[in-house]
Amino acid sequence: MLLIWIVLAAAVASAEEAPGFRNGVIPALTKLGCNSGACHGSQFGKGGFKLSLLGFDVDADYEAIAKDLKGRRLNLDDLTQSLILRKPSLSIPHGGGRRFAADSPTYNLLLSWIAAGAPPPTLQDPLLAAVEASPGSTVMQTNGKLQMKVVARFNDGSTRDVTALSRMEVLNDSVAEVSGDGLVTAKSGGAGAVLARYMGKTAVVNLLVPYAKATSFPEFTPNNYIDELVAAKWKQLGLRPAKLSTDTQFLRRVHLDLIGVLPKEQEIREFAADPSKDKRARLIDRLLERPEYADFWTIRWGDLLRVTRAGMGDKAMWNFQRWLRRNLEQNRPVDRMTHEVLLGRGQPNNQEVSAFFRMSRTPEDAAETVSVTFMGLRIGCAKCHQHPFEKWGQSDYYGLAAFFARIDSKPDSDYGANTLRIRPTGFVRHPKTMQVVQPSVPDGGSYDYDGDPRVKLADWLTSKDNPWLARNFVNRFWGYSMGRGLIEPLDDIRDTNPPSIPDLLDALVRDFRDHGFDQKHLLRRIFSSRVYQLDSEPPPGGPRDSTFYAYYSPRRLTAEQLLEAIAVATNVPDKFGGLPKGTRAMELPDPEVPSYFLDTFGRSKRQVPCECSRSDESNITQALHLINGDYLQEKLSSPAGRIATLLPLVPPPQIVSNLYYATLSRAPSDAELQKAMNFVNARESEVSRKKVLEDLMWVLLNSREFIFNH
Amino acid sequence: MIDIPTITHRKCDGVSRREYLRIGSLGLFGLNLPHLLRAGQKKETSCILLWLSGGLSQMDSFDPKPDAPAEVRGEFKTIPTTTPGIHFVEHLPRLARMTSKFTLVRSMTHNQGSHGLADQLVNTGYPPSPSGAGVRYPSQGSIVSWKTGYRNGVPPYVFIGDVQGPSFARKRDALNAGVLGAEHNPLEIGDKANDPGFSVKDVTLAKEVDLERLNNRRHMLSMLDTWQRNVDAKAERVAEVDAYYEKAYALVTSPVAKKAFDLGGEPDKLRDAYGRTMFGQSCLMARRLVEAGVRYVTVGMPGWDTHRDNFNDLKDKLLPVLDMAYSALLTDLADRGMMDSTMVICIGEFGRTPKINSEAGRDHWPATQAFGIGGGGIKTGLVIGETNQRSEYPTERPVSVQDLCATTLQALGIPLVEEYRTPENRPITVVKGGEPIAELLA
Repeated sequence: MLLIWIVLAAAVASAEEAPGFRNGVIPALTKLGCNSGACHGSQFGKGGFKLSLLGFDVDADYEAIAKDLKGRRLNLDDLTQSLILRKPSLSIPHGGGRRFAADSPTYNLLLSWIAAGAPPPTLQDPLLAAVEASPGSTVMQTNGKLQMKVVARFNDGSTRDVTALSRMEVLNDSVAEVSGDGLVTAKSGGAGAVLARYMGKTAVVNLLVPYAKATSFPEFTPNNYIDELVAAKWKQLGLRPAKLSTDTQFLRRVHLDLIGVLPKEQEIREFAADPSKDKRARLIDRLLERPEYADFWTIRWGDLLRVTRAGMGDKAMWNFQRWLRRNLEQNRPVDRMTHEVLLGRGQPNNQEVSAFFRMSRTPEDAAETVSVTFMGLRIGCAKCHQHPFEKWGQSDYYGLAAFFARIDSKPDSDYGANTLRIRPTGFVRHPKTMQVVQPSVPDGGSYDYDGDPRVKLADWLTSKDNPWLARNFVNRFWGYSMGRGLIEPLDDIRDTNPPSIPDLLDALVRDFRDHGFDQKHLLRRIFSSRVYQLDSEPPPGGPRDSTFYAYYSPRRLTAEQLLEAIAVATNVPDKFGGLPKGTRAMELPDPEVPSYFLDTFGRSKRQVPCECSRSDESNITQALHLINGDYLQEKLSSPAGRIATLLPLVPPPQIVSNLYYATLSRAPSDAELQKAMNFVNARESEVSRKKVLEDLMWVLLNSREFIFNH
Repeated sequence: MIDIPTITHRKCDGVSRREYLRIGSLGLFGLNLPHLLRAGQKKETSCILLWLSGGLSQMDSFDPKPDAPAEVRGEFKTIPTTTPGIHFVEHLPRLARMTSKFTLVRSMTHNQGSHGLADQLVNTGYPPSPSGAGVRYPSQGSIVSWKTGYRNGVPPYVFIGDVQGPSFARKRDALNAGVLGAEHNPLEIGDKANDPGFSVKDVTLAKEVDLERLNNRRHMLSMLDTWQRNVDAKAERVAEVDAYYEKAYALVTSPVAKKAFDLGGEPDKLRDAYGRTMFGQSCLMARRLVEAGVRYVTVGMPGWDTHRDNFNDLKDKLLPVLDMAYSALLTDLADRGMMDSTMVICIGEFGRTPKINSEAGRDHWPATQAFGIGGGGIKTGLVIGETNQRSEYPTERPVSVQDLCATTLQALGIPLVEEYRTPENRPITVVKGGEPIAELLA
C-alpha cells in the first residue's frame, strides 16, 4: 500500500512534464514494439487489442486504449490495476511476454499519463516536424563507442530529446552495433549507418570506421573528378588503391564492360603497338560507336523495362526491342526515352513502347514498376501500410497509382493484340477512406485528373531539376560499370540507405544532367576515370571487399557475354530456336529464347522489376556445365571449329598462341608457351595432337582468367 | 492390381513390408553403401527439411480448431489421430495414423511476417537486416556443409525444388551460405524429379572424354591457370569459383553421388507410395541422397501461400500430396532402420491468419505455426505446445525459431558455441538466443 502511494506520488509529481498521449504514450509503445506488425499492430490486432501499425493513427489508438473493452485497459481509480500496465509488466499473463518492469521509465511514463486523467490527443498537441540525429556523420575507431542523440522537432518550434523513445537499427551490422538507448560500438572497418526511427520519421547517423591507420598514400594522379572524390574517401578510411591496370588488361575489360565482347587478336596487337598517351581515351570513344554497343546495352535496358514476349506478345516484344536498339544506337537522351515510354499509347504492334504497360496491368502495378524502374524507389510496402522505415505512406502510393488510372488496354478483336487508350474518366480511391486520390508525386505536388494524367508525371520526372531520374540512372550505370552501385541494391534508393560516397553520387548526377542525360557521356566519364582502370588484384593488407573501389572487382562474365565469348573462341556459333542462323547471344531479344546455358549462368527472366533478376553469382551447376557434359566438348571437337581449321595450316606453337588470343585476349608468356608445347609434343599422331589441342582449349576456357572480367 | 503377390501384406500406403525389406537389404547400389561409407565412423545424423514454401495454415492441418467461430474454423472436418486427444484435418489421413513417427510442435512463434525475411529467419536463426546490407547469415544446411565438406564426391547439402514466388531473391538467400562462402550453398538439382528419365545434368562424362582424359585436363589446368593463384587476399568471387570447380570434379568422378541421383533404381511400387508428384519423388530422392552420405537435404514445395481459395487449394493440391509423401518418407526411413540417424522436419516460414479473409484465404501469421519434427535423435510421438482457441498465439510452451535451430544443430552434432567468422573476422555463434527443446532430445 505504501509502495503504491510512493509510486503514485512520484507519478503525480512528474505529471506536469508528462508528454501526453500523442508524443509520449504512443512513442513509448512503438519503441517497445507493441504496435509492430507482428503484435497489436497487425491487421486484426492481437488478443482482441488492436493498435495502428507503428502508431500512425493516434486517434484510433486512443479509442483502443481508453475506450474499448469498456475502458478496462485503464483504471483511473486504482491506477496500477490498469491492464495497459499489468499485462506488459506480466503481473497478469500476456501473450507478448514481459515488455517492461514495474518500475521502469516506460512504466512510469504510462502511469503518470493515467494519473493525469489519461488525456486524449488534442489538436493543440505539437506535431512532429522532423527528427534529427547527431552526430550526422562521424569517424569511429574499431571498438570505439559513441552515444548518439535523437532530437524531435515539433511544429511549435519546441524540441525534445527522444533518444530513449526511438528505435535504433544498424544498417550494416558488420561495421557497428547499437544498443536500444543509442550507444554505438564500432566493430570493424567500413561504412555503416544507424537508423533512428521516431513516430514515422527517421534520421541517420553515418559511420566511417577506418580499416587501418592512415599511412603514406601512394602517388595517384586523377584523370577526372571521380578519382579526386574516391581518393578522398580512401584517405579517410586508410585504404590504398591498387596499381594501374596494364594496357592488355584494360583492353579486354573495357571491351566486355562497354560492348560485351572480347577484343580480336588484331585489335589486341594494334593496341599494344600504339605508343600514344591518349590511346585509352580514344579506345573508349571508338567502342562507344561500335554496333555491339547498342546490342549490349539493349540487353541491360531490356532487363530494366522487362521486354518479354510472354508479357507483351510476340510482335510487340520485337518492336520494343528494336525501338530500344535504335534509341541506344542514336544515343537518345535517357530523359527523352523515359518520357516516351511513360506516354506510350496505341497498338504495341505499331507504337512500340505502349507494350511497357502490358507488363503492369493495374494502376497499382504501374505505380510500383514506374517508381522502381525510373526512380529506384520501392514503394510497394506503402500499398497496405506506411513504409516501415521510410516516410512513404498510402497517400503517396495511391497518388502515384492515380497517374495510371485512365489506362485502358482492351484486346483488339482484329489483331488479338492490345491497344492502349486513355479513358476520359477513371480514378483511384484510397482503400481506407474511399476518397478519390489526386495524382501526386513523391515529395512533390498533386495534379488534376485531366486528359492523360501520365503527361504530368512524365513532365515532372524528366524536368531539369527532378532529383530522382538522374540519380536512378547514374547509380545504375555506375553499378553496371564498377560492379557495385554507390547505393546498393541498385534499385533501393531511400534516405535510410545512404550512398557509400555521397559527394561522388552528387557530382555524377550534376554531370549527367548538365550533359542532357547523355548515356554515352556518362559512360565515357566513368570508363575514363583512373578508378575504373585500376588493377584487379586487391592491394596487399587491404580488405577483400571492394566497397570503395580500391581495386577493380573481378566479376564473372555475364551469361550472354560468356556464351558468345565461347562461341567466338571456338569458332562454333550457337543456334537459337526460331531465330536466323548467325544470331549472336548478345542479340537475343528476350529470355523466352530457350537456352540452358543462359539460364544456368543467370540471365534475367524479366519477370519482376528488380536488378536481382539477373545473377552474377557462381554455382556448381555452372562448373559442371563447363568442365563436363557435351556442350563444350562438341564445340572443341567440331570439324568446322577453330582447332580443326587451324591444324592443317599452322604449326602448333602458332596454334597455341592463337588459342591464347582467342580466349584470354593476350599472347602466351614464354613459360606458358613452353608448358603448352610440352603437352603437345608428348603426342605423336595427328589425331592425338588434335585431342591435346582440344584439351588445351578446354583448359583456357575453364581458367578463371577467361571466366572473369578483371 | 491382382498380380501383386504380396497383396495380403499391404500396408495403409499400398506398399508391403516385405517389399520394403527387400529394397532395404539390397541397399542403394547392391551394396549397403551408407554403412560402408560410415564404417569406423561415429554414426552421423542427417536432416531432411520439407519446406512448405509460402506458409502452412496451422488450423487447416495439424492444429484444427473445430470449436472456433466459423470465420476462424474453416470448412475442414477433423479426424482422430493415433495420439489420444489429438486431431488433424480430414485431408491428412495417413499422417493421422502415424503420429508415433514424428513429434508435432504447435507453438512455434516469431515476429517476421514477410516472405523472404521469414524464410531467412527460420532457416538461419537470425533476423535478417531489412536493408539487405549487413551480415548475410548462413542457412542451417550451409552450416552443416561448412562443418562437413564434400566426402567421396558427395555434396553435404542439396536443395531439391525451385525457388519461386514473391521475394524469391531473399528466399534463395535463405537457402544459401552467406558469409560462409558460396561453396557452402546447396547443390541445386531442380524440381523435375517426377519427370521420366530425370537426371542431374552434366554429371555424366561427355562423349569422347573418359575419366583419364578429364584428369589429364585437370592436371593441365592446374599447371596453366595461374591468374590470381597466389594473391593473398583473393577477391571473393574468384575464390568461390575455385571452390565450385573442386566440388564439380569431385561430383563427376564419384560413382556414389551419381548413382544417388538416379531414381530409376527404385521399384515402381515404392515410387507410387511417395506419390508420382514433384514433391513425392523429391522426398524419395532426399532419402537416396541421405543414404549416399548427404547430410542436409531441403525439399521445397511451393504453393502454400494461400491468400485466396485456401480450402480448395489445400484439399485438392497441397494436403494430399504432403500427406502421401511425408508419411511414405517416414515409413521408408523406419523400414530401412534410418530413423535413428535421419531427422525429418516439415515446416514453412510462418503460419496463417486465424481469420479467413474476404477471398476465402488466409494471410501471413508468424505468431503461431505448427511443424513436424522427429528422427535422428529427436523423440517422436510427442505433442508439444498449444495455441488458444482461435490459434492466435501460443498458450503453452512457446517455441522460438532460435529454439528450433538450437535443437536441430544439437541433434546434428554441431556444438552450439561453434563460431563462424564474417569477412571482417567478426565471430558469430551458429545460434544465438535459443535453448534446445529439452523434451525433444533423448
